[in-house]
Amino acid sequence: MKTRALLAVLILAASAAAQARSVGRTFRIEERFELNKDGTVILDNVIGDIEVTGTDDVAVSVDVLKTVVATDEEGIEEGRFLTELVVGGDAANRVLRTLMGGPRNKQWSSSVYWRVKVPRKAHVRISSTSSNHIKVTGIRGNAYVKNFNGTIVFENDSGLVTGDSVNGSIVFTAPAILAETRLTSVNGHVTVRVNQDADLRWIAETIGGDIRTNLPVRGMLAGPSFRGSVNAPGGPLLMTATLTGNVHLLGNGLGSDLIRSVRSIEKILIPPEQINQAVGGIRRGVVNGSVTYNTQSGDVVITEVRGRALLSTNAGRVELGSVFGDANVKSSGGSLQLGEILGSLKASTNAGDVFVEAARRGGVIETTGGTIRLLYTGGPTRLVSGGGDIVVRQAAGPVEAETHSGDITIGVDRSSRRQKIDASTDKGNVVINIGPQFGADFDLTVITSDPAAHTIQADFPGLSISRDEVDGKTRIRATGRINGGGDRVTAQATDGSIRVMSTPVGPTVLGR
Amino acid sequence: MAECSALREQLPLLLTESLDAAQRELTHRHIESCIECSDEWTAYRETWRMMDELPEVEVPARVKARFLEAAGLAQIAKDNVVPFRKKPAFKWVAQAAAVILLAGGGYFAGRETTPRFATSRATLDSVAYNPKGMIQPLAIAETRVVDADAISPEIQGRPNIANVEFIDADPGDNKIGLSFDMTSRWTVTGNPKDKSMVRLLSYMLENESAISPRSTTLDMVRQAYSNPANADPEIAGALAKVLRNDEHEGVRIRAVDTLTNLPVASTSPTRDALIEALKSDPNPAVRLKAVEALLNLAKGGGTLDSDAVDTLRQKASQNDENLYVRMKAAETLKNIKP
Repeated sequence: MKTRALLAVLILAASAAAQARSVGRTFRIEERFELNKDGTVILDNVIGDIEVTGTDDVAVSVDVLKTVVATDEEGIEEGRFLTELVVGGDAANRVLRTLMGGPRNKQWSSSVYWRVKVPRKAHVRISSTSSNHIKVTGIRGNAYVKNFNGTIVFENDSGLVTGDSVNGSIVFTAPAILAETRLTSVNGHVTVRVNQDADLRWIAETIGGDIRTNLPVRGMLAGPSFRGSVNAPGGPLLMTATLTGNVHLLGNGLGSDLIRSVRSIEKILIPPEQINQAVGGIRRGVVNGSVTYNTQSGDVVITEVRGRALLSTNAGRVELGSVFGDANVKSSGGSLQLGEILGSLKASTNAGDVFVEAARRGGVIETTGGTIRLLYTGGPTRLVSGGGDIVVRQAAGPVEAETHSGDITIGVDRSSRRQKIDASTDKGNVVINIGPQFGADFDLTVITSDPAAHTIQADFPGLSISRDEVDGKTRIRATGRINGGGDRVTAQATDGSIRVMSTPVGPTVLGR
Repeated sequence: MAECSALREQLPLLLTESLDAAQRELTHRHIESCIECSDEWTAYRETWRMMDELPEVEVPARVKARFLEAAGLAQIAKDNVVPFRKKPAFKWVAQAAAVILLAGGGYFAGRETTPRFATSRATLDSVAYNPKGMIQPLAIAETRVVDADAISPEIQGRPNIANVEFIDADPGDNKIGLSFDMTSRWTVTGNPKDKSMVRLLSYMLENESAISPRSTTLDMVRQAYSNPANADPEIAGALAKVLRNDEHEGVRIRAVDTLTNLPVASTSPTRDALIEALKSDPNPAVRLKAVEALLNLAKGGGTLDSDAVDTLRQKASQNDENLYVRMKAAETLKNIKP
């Protein structure tokens, strides 16, 4: 045992001595090469960091630091000689490459740090084996980075972005996703930061890690994958996948305390009778183009319509996925379950619940008896229920909601600063959730026979409250302006309360 | 244990290939990870094989009748029996007379038509010398025992070798034996490092029909050659060929297992075979074993070329690949130095 310990100490001492003797030297090379505005820069570096920045310049500027560490000067010289920087290609495709080859007679190691400035609209392709980081900033062309180890950082890139790593993490930061973005790692984490109002479609996948976000995403979990949308439907695709790491989609300016795992959120369950059980009517997958269908009896089930949809059934339900155009859906006696409608929406049923994932341009949703649940609307929307609750989770447009019996809950988009809202229930409560910067002129009324139980509550100061008696009932009225005022927000609840609050909305996960 | 109990109920179905793909994979994975269930599975398969080899014996009528009686089925059996009626004796006499008439008539007819040759005397033209003692008489079914160093390491032609048994009578003497049928029963004994022994064993491993059961022999190869002193790349090469070519997934799994335990597992042909198995073997259990072997190799400081890294990368990202294979591929990538 003593001998082994002694041996270990000797080896350590020897290696320390060797390390102490090792010398390092850095060689700097600066060059400029011609490149077309929309040309491609191909950079292949085995070991060392890379930074590529988009500029208004019309050429490629290269600033390279070649570092060689060796035990003596001869080693330094050999390392310098055998670590070659190669430039090839032409103005359309400029190739920059580090080559390390040849027989080694000395002990040395080297790394090359590339700092490259390219025209903004140029395309960039980078491949690397080992580095601390690879950073691509301000590129409007396509950016493709593939590495084995080390972090990949994309910053303010607005073209097609592809990041592919084995053990490295990937970080993407931009105000919005403007083109398809695919970020995949095997063992690293994938983190994306965008503005809160960014519209995008999001696919996230991890097996060993978690999927977290603080944005108001809505979507569905299927095994290890989450597929959903953020804000208005139909945005560019953001694909984030890792096998063992975590996936994060974060909003710029939003607190980390709002981050939620989409796996642990309670799912909104679509009622069992609304799950795909159609026996008659029509069943279709993806329809390329518009569809018009009218049936006396039977269910209508269509996965996706890449055009307009005009559907009606006298006795049956309608289950419709995404619709790229306008959607007009009517049932005389059945529930409606609709996906993301990119055009305007008109949905009505005589008896049944209505569930709509998103109405990008708003529309009209009516049921004579049933609950209406709308996850996102981006335009003026009118919701009417003969008897049932109305829930609007994220409204980025004016909302008018009316029910004869039931609660009304309206969540206003956090980035909205002003928006018209009108909510009225003949028996039930009204809850309006607004962002901290939302400005409005409020007119809230509660008519109740039990004034102790039914009140008006607001998380904002500035509302004045009055009480009077009308037809033997107490009328409580709150009026006032918050955040400097804005569009008119009116709410009336009979035998119920009204609450105006400011609570961030987390992600929504749909379940079946 | 509850999992074992549930999965053991699947073993007969697995044996008769009645499980669906997902269940089959699940069961195989459990067998690979549980020693007890693995033993149970081996016993099942052995029993199944033995049953296949047993001759079918006709049950004696009396035993059958007794069994049916005991089972209360005697009456049913009786209903199906047609009663035997004694035939009259004169019928037998008439039949015998007809046979004699036909046979006798045929003999006389043939005798009259056959050509006749004249008789001649026999003569001896030459006599060959057969030296006494040069040919040793051998008894039928005798086993010949030879030392490995007494036979040539070159195997000529493609001799038909069958019923190979691996013998290691004394594990401490660093000698192994191979007993097999060729024209008669042979037993070759010698040091595992002996070239003739290595060649013979390699030939047998690559010859699919020679060894039965092959999995047992592969286990024995592992025992003999996992000792670094006996390491031989030719054995690893033979196992790599088994992994590539054998049609039975159980054998391929054992081949990977054996390869993993050989000190020469990091050689290039072995790595290539493992990568090839990971890339294209149709059985997920084999791919799973292959990726585990590569992980062990990576953890041991082994290097992998860019093709291997690309395959691992592709496997880790392949959505329709077995999840365990994907995770192990990711773990392997984490451990390698490109």
